This record gives sequence, C-alpha cells and structure tokens, in this order.
Amino acid sequence: MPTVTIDGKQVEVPDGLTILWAARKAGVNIPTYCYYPWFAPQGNCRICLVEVEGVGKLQIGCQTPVRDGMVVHTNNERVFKARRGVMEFLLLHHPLDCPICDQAGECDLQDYGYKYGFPVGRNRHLRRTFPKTDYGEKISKEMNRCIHCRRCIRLAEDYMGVHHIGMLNRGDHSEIGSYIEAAIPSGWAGNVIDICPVGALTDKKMRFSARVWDLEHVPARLKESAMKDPVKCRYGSEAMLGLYRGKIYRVTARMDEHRVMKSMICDEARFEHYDLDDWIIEEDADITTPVESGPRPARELEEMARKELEEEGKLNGGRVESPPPSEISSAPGTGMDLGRQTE
Amino acid sequence: MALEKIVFKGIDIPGRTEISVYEDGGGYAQWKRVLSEKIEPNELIETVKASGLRGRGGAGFPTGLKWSFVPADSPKPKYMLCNADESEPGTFKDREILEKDPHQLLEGVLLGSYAIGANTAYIYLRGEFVKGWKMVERAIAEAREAGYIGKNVLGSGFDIEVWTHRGAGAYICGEETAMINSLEGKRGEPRLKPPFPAVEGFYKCPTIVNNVETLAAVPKIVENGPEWYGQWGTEKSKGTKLWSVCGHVARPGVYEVPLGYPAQKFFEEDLGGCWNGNKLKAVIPGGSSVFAMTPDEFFACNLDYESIAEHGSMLGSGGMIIFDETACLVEASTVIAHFYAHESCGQCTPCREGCGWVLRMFRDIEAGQPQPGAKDVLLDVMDQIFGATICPLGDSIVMPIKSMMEKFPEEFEYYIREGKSMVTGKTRLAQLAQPDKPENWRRGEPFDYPREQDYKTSFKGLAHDLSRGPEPLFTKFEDE
Repeated sequence: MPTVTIDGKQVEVPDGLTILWAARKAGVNIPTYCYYPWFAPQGNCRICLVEVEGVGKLQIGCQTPVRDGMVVHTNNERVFKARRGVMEFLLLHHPLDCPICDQAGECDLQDYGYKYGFPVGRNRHLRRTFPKTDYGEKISKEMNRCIHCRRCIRLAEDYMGVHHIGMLNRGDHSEIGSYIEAAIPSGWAGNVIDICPVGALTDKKMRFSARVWDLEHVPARLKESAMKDPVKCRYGSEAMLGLYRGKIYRVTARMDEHRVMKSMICDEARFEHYDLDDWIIEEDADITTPVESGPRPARELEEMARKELEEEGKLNGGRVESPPPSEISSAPGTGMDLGRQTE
Repeated sequence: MALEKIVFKGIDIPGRTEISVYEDGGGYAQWKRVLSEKIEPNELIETVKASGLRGRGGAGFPTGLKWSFVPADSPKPKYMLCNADESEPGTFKDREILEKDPHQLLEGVLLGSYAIGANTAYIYLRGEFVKGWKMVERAIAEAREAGYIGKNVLGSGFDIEVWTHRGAGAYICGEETAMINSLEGKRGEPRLKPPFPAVEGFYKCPTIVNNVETLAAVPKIVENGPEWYGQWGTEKSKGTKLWSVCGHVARPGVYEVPLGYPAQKFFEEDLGGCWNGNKLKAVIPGGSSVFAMTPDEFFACNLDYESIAEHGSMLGSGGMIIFDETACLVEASTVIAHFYAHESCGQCTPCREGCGWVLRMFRDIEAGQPQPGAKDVLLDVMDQIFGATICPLGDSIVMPIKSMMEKFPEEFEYYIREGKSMVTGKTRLAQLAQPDKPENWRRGEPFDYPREQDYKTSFKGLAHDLSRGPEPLFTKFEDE
C-alpha cells in the first residue's frame, strides 16, 4: 500500500489508485470536468492539474497513478495559476448566461469559475458562436456553453452503444454534434443531460420552468403498472424527482455528492411520467456513497430485464413490446440545415 | 575526417528510385544478409543501440533503446510504423528521401520490422506528398516483385507486409499517438502517455514509430557497423543530420552534415550567409516549433542536440528557418500562430482555446490598433498554455513566439505602440482595422487589457486565496 502526501496530509491508499481518488481519501477535492468514474480518463479538460514533486510538468490528477512516497501539491501558486488559466480558456467563449441557464446552481463551470476564475475578463474579441441545434425534441443542445469534455460522446459510445454523436471540425471551432443534426437513436439518450457538467445539454421539458435550487429532490422509482416499456424501465427507473410545490418539474438520475450518476435512467422514466402517482418514493435510497465505477451498459440492462420479464410471463408471447424509438426520443432534429456546413 | 553522406549517399544517382539501380549500389544486401545469416533480432537492436542513432523526428530519443522496449514475449502482433507525415513548417528533409530514395527507406523499414519482430509495417505519409507516395508505392511493388516483401521472404520463414497510408492533412497526425489513432480510423488526436506505443500502440499492440530519416540511416549502420557510424558526431549525438534550410538565406536546401558541425561554419560556408549579403537577425533551428535564437547564440553553438539545447533552443526536426534584418518578427509570429491555431486538434483546453486567442491578438496588433497591455496578456496566455497540454503542440506555439518576444522585445513593443512594423514601416493587416465598426470591438469599448493588479485582488474572499488551504471535498455555503 503506497503512502502519499497530499497537501501535507499523509494517506495510505491501494496500489494503482489515481491522485484524484487519493486526494479524495485525504479530504482534498481536485476539480474535474472530463473525468467521470464511468470512463477511462481522457485528460482533455486539464483542470485537475496538480504538482508532483520531482516531476517537471504539472500532472493530471485523474490519470496519474500514485507511487509510494509521492508528494502532491494541489494548493500552491503554480497549480492555482494553471487552473486559473484553464478556467480562463474555458470561459473565453462561454456566453455567461447563467441567469437564463437551467444548469445554474448545479453547474461545475459556475462552481470552479468562482473558485479559480479571473474576476475580470481579458478577452477583447467577439465570442465564437454556433447555431443552435438540438438532439431531437427532448434534449436541448446549446453548443455555446459547451466545454468539450466529451462525456456525452463517451456515454453514447460506451453505455448506449450508439455512435451518432462526435466531434466535428478542429481546433477552437470544434463542435460536438450529430451528423446532419439527428437525434440520438437510443431509448437512454436523456442521460446525456445528466452527464453534462455544464448547461450545454438540458432537458427541454424543464426549460425555463423552474430553478434547481427551488426544487426538492426526492429519490423515487417508477411503478411497474405505469411502465409502458418495462424492458427499459425495469432497470432504468431509479430516478430522482425534482419537486416544487408537489409538482414534478424534472426527473433525473440519482447522483452522489460529486454529481456522478448512480445509474442510467431510460427516456420513458425521464420524459413521460410527470404524475406523482406513477412513482414510488424511496426516501431511504443511498445517494451519498461516491460512485467509483460505471453501471452495466444499456444493452445488458435491457437483456437482463427482458429475460426476467419473460420468466415472469409479462412479455406478450415472449415478444418484446417496446414502442418504436421514434416515439420516445429520436424524433427528427429541429431541421436539417445542410447549408450550415459551408457557412 | 572527410565529410561523408550517409542518408543522402545515393540521392543524386540517376534512376535511384528504381530497384535495379538501388541494388547496384549495394541495396537490399543487408536485408538479404540478415535473412540468410539468420541474425538474431536482438543483435540488430544492439547494433543500432551501439551506433547511438537518435530519433530524427524531433525528440531525439535513442532508436535502439526504443526498439528494445518492445516486449519480446508479447503474444500480440507487433507493428512498425514509419512516420512520414512531415508537416512542420520549415522542414522538408523527409520529402527528399521519399521522392528520391524510397528503397533505402524501405530497407530501413524492413530491417526495423525484423528487429522488433513485426510482420506488418505501415508508412504514414503526409497527404500532400503525392509524388512521394507514388514513389514509395512503386518501391514497395518492386520490392514485392523481387521477393523482399511478402510471405516467407527469401526462404527465411519471416513474413513482412508493408502498406502506405496517406494522411488527410492534419499536422497533429505527425505526433506518434495521434498517428496511431488516425491509422486506426479515429480522429487524429494524441493519446495520454503512459502507456507508450512500444507497449500499447496500434490496436493496443506493441508498436514502434520511427521517422523517415531515422529508418533511412539503419541500412548503412547495419552494413558498416556501429563504430563506423559513431565516427561522426559528438559523444552523445552520433552520426549525421539532415538540415532543411529555408528563409532569407543565399543557398536554401537540404544539407547533410555530421552532428556537432559548427553552426557558424555551416551558415557562412555551406549556406553562403543571408541572401543579398543582409545581416542575420534570428534563427529557428529545428522547425517552427522550437525556441528562436539570436545570431550570437546561434554562432556560438554546434549543430548537435546538446549544444543547441545549451544555447537555449532545440534541434527538433532540423528545419532551419533563417530571418534576416528585413524580416518583421511580429509578422512571422502571426504566421506561426496562424499555423498552430489552424492545426490544433481541439482535444485539450489550453491549446484549443489558447492558440486561437494568441492568433486573434496578433491579428489585432497587425491591424494597427493601439492596445497597451497586449504584450503582457500575450505572454501570460502563452504561459498558461505551456506545459499544460497532452501533446507538445501547445508548447510548440509558445516556444518560437515567446522566445522572439523575449529576445526582440523592442520590435513587438514598437508594433503595439505605433501600429506599424519597426522593420518595414507598414501595417500588414491595415484592412482589418475598422474602428468605425464598433461590432468588431466589443461594445466599442476603448481597446485595453486589464492590468495584473486588477485581477490580483480577491473577489469577496472566494477565490485567489491560497491561505484558505486546499479545497475541501464538499463546500458548505453558510448564510452570511
């Protein structure tokens, strides 16, 4: 068991742990954007830079494994300046429209912007803007707010099994999108809303209707009688309701205190059930233990559910009674503006 | 010691691109010898290691040592990748080899593949090298016909296939892990290291990526032995190096000189000094992505890895760019910034956002807008990029521009203050300055940058206060 020193605190951690988790064990938070425990670290946001004694360059906390006797600083001027620099770059083209952004209040960019950002802006140029394109009729995409962490791409590829979103273009005009603005053809597409650390992907149903700090968050599960598509909902309805004055304003996945999703929820649970009678409230659900690894991918969950439902005789003649995906999330995009590419 | 060419030895022989001419000059003899004598791959690696050959692509990592990192007992297939994606501004040495002597490169690829036990080799060419690609394709076809490539080569039981792959015009694909991604069919973006490609590279298999010039030197080393190769160069930088010289110089071109050759002699005797007898102003010795040198620094150094590093720059890929007194370094910086802003892949934050910002600031300076404070902000932004990125592309924009700004500060200060070049007396992008169009400048504010004291002050005690200790896991906001 290597012993590492993080900001003067000695901790003993298991072999192969990253600096990020060692620091969390020592009670020190290292800010992250692109890191998500569900995926292999990608290291492209660079906000988690820390100083390791004896190593010339700053190292990323989310990927660098600990070694015995490692001395890590997360709170000195060099690290602070690097993080401030990364924050400045991330906010360079950010519209700073927090007052009208649905993510405000639970936005990583806001939190770390207050902690590490410049109090003044040094950009003297027009901001880069993108035309607004959405993922279907349920998910709003505001590319101007995006910080290019690529969590949504990795979620779609690794957990939904769809390869329909990716990076377009290169450099500072690179853009996350689906080719010809199609929706994400998966019954689990709404999870990109929860995985987005900023307000780039938001729930269109909840749009402009409530502020997250007004909502009361209640863990709940969909009643079996209310499920239209039990194959997805059986393992995809462990949700969190956002209530305001007894009315559901939004449904999200359950998250731990680092705002990491406990599991995925299906699009039916997220978008279709806004009646409290459809839900069973689970007050004692565990929402504090930090998530350290990803859940099963959507396909496996569906197969498990299908097998169980067949055994219970709840599927008609063993056939899956699943509504076609177009009814749930993959309605065509807001318009196939093919001319945009040549703009 | 006579000046002997190693990589460029046969480059001027007419018809060298044909296999018969190459074989007449002793070509493929080493490949045949290695296969017929069944020389141990380890022996080959030791030969290259002892020769002191270092990677000529930029980093200068010892080639033999790199080869020895390939795990010999790995059950996975191994791959040999030749990096011919030469896109660095000012570098054009590999193009000469690809177009004029592709067989020598091919023999190096074959020997390297044999040494690391790879049965498949790829030559990743820059997409714009159409002629080079045709030459290499023809060389591969000829070698295949002659039986040097294929299954059970020359009855030795060793299988080798060589393929070419043309890039689609991305500079970043010259970075080895980005090249591997590109070959796999993904976006050409660098990967995090470790794991290094020698352990986990192409399709997660052990992979060696070598530069064209490195591999082209291998047949000669195998032929004549490491001691012969080691007689040129210095103790740590052995052999010869190709220098592609461009800019305001009397005789530009590709030169092969031993490492450790005095820079002043090279510049004055071989290159013939600056053109029209002008005075030398600055030199970027290793392609556009290394520190610029003043004439004093340049003339004091020898052309090898250590000496150039000692005098404040890097050998890099050997693409020497010469600036004479008529060159405006602000304009040169804009060109360099434009290149890196255009080629940034968009993966990690500092390079993606920073390179474009640096370019926009330089465009403003060149448009002739007076903007006090721009120099400090530029230097600060470049400091924020440097060392914070995944691959060295972020560093590459900083090194030439920052070194020029530090070594020739008066030129930059003059352009920022006066709105025109100190050298040419002109404003290069005057047409971009449209002060009557306030939408070009944010809300028509007076063009100024905040000073450092503006953002040093703490904002309600929330930020910029290191004395508050490391960030706690969960911040509890108390009602104030």
